[in-house]
Amino acid sequence: MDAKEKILCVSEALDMRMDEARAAALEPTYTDWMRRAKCLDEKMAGLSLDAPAAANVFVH
Amino acid sequence: MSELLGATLTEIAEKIRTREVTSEEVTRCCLKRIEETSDRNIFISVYERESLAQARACDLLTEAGISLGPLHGVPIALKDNINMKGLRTTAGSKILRGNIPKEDATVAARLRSAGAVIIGKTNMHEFAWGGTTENPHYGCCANAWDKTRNPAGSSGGSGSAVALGCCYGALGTDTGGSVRLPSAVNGITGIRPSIGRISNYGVIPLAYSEDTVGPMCRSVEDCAVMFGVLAGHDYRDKTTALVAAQDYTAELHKGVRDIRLGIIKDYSMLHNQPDVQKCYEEALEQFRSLGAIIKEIELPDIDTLIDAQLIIDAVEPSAVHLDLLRKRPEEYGEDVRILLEAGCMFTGTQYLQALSYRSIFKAEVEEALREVDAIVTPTLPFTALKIGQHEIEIVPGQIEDGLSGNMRYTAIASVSGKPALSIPIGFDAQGLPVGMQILGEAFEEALLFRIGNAYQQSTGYAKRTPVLG
Repeated sequence: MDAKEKILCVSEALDMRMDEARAAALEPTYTDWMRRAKCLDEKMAGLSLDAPAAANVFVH
Repeated sequence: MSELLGATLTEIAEKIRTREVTSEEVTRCCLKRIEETSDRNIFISVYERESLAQARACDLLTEAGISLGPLHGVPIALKDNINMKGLRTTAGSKILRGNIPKEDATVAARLRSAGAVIIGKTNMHEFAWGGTTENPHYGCCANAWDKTRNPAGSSGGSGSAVALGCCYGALGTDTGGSVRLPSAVNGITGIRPSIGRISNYGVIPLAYSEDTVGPMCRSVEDCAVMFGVLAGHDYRDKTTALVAAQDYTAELHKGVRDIRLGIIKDYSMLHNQPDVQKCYEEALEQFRSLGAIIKEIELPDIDTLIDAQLIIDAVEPSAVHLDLLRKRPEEYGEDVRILLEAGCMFTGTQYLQALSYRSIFKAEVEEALREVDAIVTPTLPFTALKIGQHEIEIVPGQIEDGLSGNMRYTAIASVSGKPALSIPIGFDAQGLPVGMQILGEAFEEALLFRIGNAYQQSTGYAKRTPVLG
């Protein structure tokens, strides 16, 4: 599935208005951001299961 | 700039207090300045009638020997994502063009209670989701020093307004850097507070876990004065901390002897435009001459900081806007619409990974702040970009996106939740301002002001003002 197809697929799942032209407009940003997500994924993949929790709170 | 307009907030408050000038006179000067700079699209709304009425009321109180507080009679502007009762708050958008809030945001109410004269609402990047303030609905805002360049963002209007003398202080909001970036490229001082230090109640959200409100002024002292008015728990915003606010001006003049300032190994000194690098190194030397100790620190996982920041900064706004994206997507500006739609594409797992990274990175920053009192970096690696320029070449041959390039240093505070102050530290060869970021431990804003003030008292960069051209 290429980037445009993935964009269309997720948009449909979220009930968002999306067509091929808009998916094409999104594609460069989408591609860059998925690359970044992959970089982070690779970094986090090495962590053990008892690594710090992903609690979304700022505990000062 | 006239002597009156070139004065700092603290100076003008004193002149009003001693009746050397009236608040009405000062407000009229600012209104005239706003009119003179109207081609720069700095303001979305200007409150001429309301501000003059407030100013006259302040003058009557002054004559009766009454002062409402440290901002009594001083014209201040608010970024247009901060609610004011009965006055439109657009968030720089077409969608909220007719939005009339029923009550003040807490920060607006606190400023008014301290006597501030609210002169208008400044232009911003639409919904605060961007770093240029090139706003398709309210006009492209211009940089205070060069009309062909943008004022950064998203609080670009506030940055320009303060630098050009349209007001003596302004509020911005900072998620990924939106107070610090326009402060740096407009040559003024601005602070992102600790998460939980200042209320977000009544501020239109962008990213719930990173949004903050911060003052932008012409000096560190001014920022400290405004900060003292704004800081403190708010029962209406349950994310505000139960940590007591303090007098943020009390330590201003303690100097920096033996204060340890950290530079990030393999990061702070790399990947900056040459003039930014030069100004940064000169600022470090200046701090050394004042008795500060410069020390290298490590943040081992900083290499994926921007990746995590962009994921958090993309997913959260998309969640905020999902309903509107479904119903009224065509009413967004194209750049913001793309960011919001693309943000919807991340999975929950990817977002959780970014939050896990946040926990790790926050711990590394805290570890570093046990070795040093503050971490210092350039605020951003480059000076103001040309209007319409959205890519930058810092390293020859390597083109990078302006949005992520902007956040190289500001993301450190945004992801870790720590406070960070931006101060002017010089100018590049084209006369464009350069900023330095000073980042500290949570709720240590008074220390950041102390460090920044020591630098400002020993240099003249904060006093330079742009010439209208």
